[in-house]
Amino acid sequence: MELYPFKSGVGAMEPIALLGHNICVHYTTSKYYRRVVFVEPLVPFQFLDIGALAAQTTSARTQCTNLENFDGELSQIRWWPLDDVQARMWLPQTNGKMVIRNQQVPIDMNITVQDPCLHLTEIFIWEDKVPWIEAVNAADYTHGAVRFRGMGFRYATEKCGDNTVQRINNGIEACVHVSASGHAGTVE
Amino acid sequence: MLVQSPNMRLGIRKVGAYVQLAAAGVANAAAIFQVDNLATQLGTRSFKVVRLFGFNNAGANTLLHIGTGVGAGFVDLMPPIQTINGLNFNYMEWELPQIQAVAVDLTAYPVAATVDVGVEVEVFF
Repeated sequence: MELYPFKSGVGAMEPIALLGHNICVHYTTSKYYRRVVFVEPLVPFQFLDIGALAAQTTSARTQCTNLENFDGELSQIRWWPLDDVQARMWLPQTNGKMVIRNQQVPIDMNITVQDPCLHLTEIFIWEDKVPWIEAVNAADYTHGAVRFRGMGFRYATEKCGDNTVQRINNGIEACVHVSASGHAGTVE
Repeated sequence: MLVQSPNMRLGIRKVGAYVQLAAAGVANAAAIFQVDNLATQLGTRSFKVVRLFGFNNAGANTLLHIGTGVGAGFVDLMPPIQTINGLNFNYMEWELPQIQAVAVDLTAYPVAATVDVGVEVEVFF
């Protein structure tokens, strides 16, 4: 069974790891080698409501505190806006997600028809290092609410021993690497 | 197994505000769907009308023009629709021409007031 991030399926979502599997969480410049000791699914749920947003305005950058995990835990979340906004994400607060050189790619309602399994929205959240979202209401009228929903998997993990890390780095043991933050851009 | 295929040409269905076109004539054409056109949004939006519904409250049969712009800038996007005094009308997607408007609001005016109008559109972005 192949498990890896951003996996596309026919309306489905799969975990990146099962019990006993190794994962390596990359958060900015840090790496956390962990072994999964518990995994469970998170059915679609609302994690953020920015509230009313006036016509043709951008909301404050809002922290998604409802996506916080316990210590040593990782979550794998696919998300989409319920209301008609373009949403830009930062993870952490000053590090944009989905950024290409000239623009930051937002997610809007159309994602549910253009990418039904939402694999292109997949993010990883390490412990309480949650994303921040800005919403743009481009309409000529106020939105009464700006809500976001997510779904995915929650992983409880324990630290890998030094031997295991060495075996992973030598290619002897398998490990799924995931990035749990944005990337500021590559400099040669 | 639930099977969903991506459809890159499927829009999001939205509804315009309920508008009472209380003033007749092209100079009084009013927006019946306002498209998102904020400078800071990413991409340009277009839409097509998939449902047109309303009520003739004019006291006489009258034509309803659907298009873009107002006054001398008004452009019909479809032939005018005859509305019957005191009756509702309700045209569905397969009864309407597949006209599209890009980045501009959809406007309408009656030849004789008042006609109440609402639209549903499919927005592409």
